[in-house]
Amino acid sequence: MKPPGKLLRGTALLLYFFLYAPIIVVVIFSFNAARYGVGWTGFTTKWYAALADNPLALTAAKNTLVLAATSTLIATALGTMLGYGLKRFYFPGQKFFQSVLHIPVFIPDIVMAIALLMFYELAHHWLGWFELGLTTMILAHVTFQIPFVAIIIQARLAGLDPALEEAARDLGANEWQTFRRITLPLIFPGILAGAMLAFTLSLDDFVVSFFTSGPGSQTLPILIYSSVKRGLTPDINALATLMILASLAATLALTLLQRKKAVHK
Amino acid sequence: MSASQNLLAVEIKEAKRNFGNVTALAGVSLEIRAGEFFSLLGPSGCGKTTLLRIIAGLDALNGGTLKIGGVAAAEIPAHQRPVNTVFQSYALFPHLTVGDNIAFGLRMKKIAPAQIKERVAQAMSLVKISDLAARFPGEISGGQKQRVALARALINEPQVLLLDEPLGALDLKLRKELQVELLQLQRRLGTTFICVTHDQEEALVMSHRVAVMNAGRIEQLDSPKNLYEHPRTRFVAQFLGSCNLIAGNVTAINADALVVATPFGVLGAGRRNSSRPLTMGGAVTFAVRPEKLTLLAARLADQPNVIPVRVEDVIYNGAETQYRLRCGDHTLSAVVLNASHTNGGFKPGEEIFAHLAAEALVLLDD
Repeated sequence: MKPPGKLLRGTALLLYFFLYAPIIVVVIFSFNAARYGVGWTGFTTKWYAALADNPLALTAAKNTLVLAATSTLIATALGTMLGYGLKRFYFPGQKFFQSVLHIPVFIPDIVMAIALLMFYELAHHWLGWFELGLTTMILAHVTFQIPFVAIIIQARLAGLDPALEEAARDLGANEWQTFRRITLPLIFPGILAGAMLAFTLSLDDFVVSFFTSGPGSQTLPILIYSSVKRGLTPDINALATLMILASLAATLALTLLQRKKAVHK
Repeated sequence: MSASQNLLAVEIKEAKRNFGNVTALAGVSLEIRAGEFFSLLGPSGCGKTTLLRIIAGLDALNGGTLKIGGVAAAEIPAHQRPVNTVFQSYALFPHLTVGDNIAFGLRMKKIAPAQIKERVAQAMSLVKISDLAARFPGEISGGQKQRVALARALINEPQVLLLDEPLGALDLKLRKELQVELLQLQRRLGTTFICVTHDQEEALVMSHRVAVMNAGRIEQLDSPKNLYEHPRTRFVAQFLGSCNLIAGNVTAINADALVVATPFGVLGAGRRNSSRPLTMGGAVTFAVRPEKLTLLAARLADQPNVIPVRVEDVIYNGAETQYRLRCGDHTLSAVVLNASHTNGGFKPGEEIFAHLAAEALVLLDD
């Protein structure tokens, strides 16, 4: 491979600058001693300490994690089954279900959010179910996570030699044994990637969470949004930095897991 | 051997299979004897793989019947059939070691672990890969993968072993080695092998009997020798080795011979091996193998079936020489063993004679 030309190198640098400069600014300013404004007045970690004493932030962090973990677990299980079922079985309406699978991916968040809110309000009105709170948020997140998981699983299944499952059946494995012993281990990296994506989507979702949350189910993105309305403060920067750190750690863990898998290939 | 040959390992009657508008099998009937090495030979799309997959239970019949070991098998699911398959891509499980791949079938049958260990070791030594147990499929060569696939299937002691283009992915040298090994293994175990291949040499070398398939039908089912020496159709004649086809019209029919007017002149031929009704003036086609032509520098007086030809091309092949011969608007190909040349061969442009012995002219059914 030859080294890139000057123009290409410049474009790439500019691109990375626009991508990462704002994030770096947030991280830097989370260590700024100044309470207000953008002037640098000295290094401090007191905003991080302040977060630990902020019950609102702690509850929001707990809600965010519970929401992300629970919705990811449910969406990964359902999404895997959906992706596998649509790819491996033939039934009336299969083509239809396959094509509507992608629609939630394209629907704007705000439309999805309002639709869910309306559904919850109506259901609450007629049935008395779905009082807005953490449960409705989890259901809402599962709704937008499922297609992402299913699509990743399908991509993984498409790359799988169909003869592998046939070989398992040929060697005496029934359908469940074939899935458990052959298909599941082979699509596991896909399941992991799907779960990771679902987790990240949930973690930083604002719009859907905002519309489907109730009293006491505030998450970090909602907390940050409402704080920012009162002005940018360094403790928000600290909170954002911690969220970046969490995302980074998760991505790193996933990469390591996949590398360990790849050794066997 | 003779006792087991009377038993049928697989019995197929009027097997039909369509994929939408495409006919993969157009009513195939077939009896495969226990203990035989049977090959399904044909070009891609002829239905041979579909037939194999139907026996394995990986594909289903649209019509007809299937018996395995005398038992109706069409409704038995794949994982309960007494057959195992060596897949074209080998289909080794990439997340399991070679040892675990081979043990897979026995584990599904809930065989005791100690016994599994012993039988895996036996199977691995049978195909000479005893030192590979701990490796993953991604870490071994193509030839080794082929052996693992073979061991993984044979360890289950199937009534019938199905092989789908077993040597197709290997290079020529390895293929030739493994052909012989596969053949010896089959003769030693006595298991019925059904092998799908598009490689005519592979089929001829390994099989007791071969079914040549074309467009969802069996063109001819015979021993390798009969298929080569007495092809019944143009397709078989041209698919197995190269062949000259000579068309003509009957001018005389005797009890055991006929005389035919061809573009190469009037030729006499035997009637043997022909199920075709012959009529005076009717069109017939003969197949002549290139090595059955005898090339002569001069014509002997009154020798029948000798035609004057001009040498067009000469291709030296080491052991033999290929000649392209022209006679009017038509060409013939001939192959001569170089060891049998007395004068160092013929040169392009030479006017010589070709002798087509009556026994070399095989009358075709179509």
